[in-house]
Amino acid sequence: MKNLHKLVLGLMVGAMAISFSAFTNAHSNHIIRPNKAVKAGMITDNYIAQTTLNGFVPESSAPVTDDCSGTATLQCAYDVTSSGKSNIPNQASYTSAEINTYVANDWLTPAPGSSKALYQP
Amino acid sequence: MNKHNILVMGSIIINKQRFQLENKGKDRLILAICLLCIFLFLYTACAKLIDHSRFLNGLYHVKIISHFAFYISWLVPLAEILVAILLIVPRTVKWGLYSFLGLLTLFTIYILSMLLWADKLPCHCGGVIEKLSWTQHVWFNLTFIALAIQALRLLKTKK
Repeated sequence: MKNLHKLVLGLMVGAMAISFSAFTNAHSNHIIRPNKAVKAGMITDNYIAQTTLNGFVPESSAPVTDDCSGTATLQCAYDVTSSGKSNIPNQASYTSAEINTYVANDWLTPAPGSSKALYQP
Repeated sequence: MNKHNILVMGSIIINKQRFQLENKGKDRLILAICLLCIFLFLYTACAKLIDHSRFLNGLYHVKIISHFAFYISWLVPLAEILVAILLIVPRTVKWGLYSFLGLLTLFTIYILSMLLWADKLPCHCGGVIEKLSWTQHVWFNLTFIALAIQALRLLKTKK
């Protein structure tokens, strides 16, 4: 009985933590994002940045090109074009080969002020 | 029964009552600490899972772990949930406290190494905890580590 009481208390606190977390995060996610995916499963972010050498990740906010440093063969940051929104798959990361294909198809354009460097905010 | 025997018996009963009260107090303190730890881990785990892409993006920015970012992004919240479950089930509280202590020590070592060696300090710890500065974060973690150690000590001394 004593153990049951502890279990119920633990579950109650757990439920409180989950709801509190959902509430605070839902609040911060409430901002309407202008970068909605045009097609399901396609990229939702407006930018792609080269965070590691030949390793690219999507970025929701515009990369600050002042944070581009070092040397690389590809651009530090790219803007996703409107056609890119319908064609670039939504992935956690992209390879340099994929980026080259997207640039060749005009799905990506180098971000203004970007250089051949790494994005290190 | 002589006077002396009655006195001895009385003192034993009083001591027993005192001991029971002590145990009850310890039990409550352990429970309170466990509830705090459950809240902390479930809260941060859910924050990481709700906005998973943001957490993953943040990990990609940390040079030393960027190659394992995807795995870490799932492993950390799942480990936190597992520890919370261990703390909720009364039979596994001891193991829960040990794993809580281990995981939090690991997080603190990570923060300290970042403070010492990293140029940039990205924090994607989830929820309102992100609003803490890194030094405050270290103190926050140390407080919870001390609480977990205290709970384990109380568990050991509890009869």
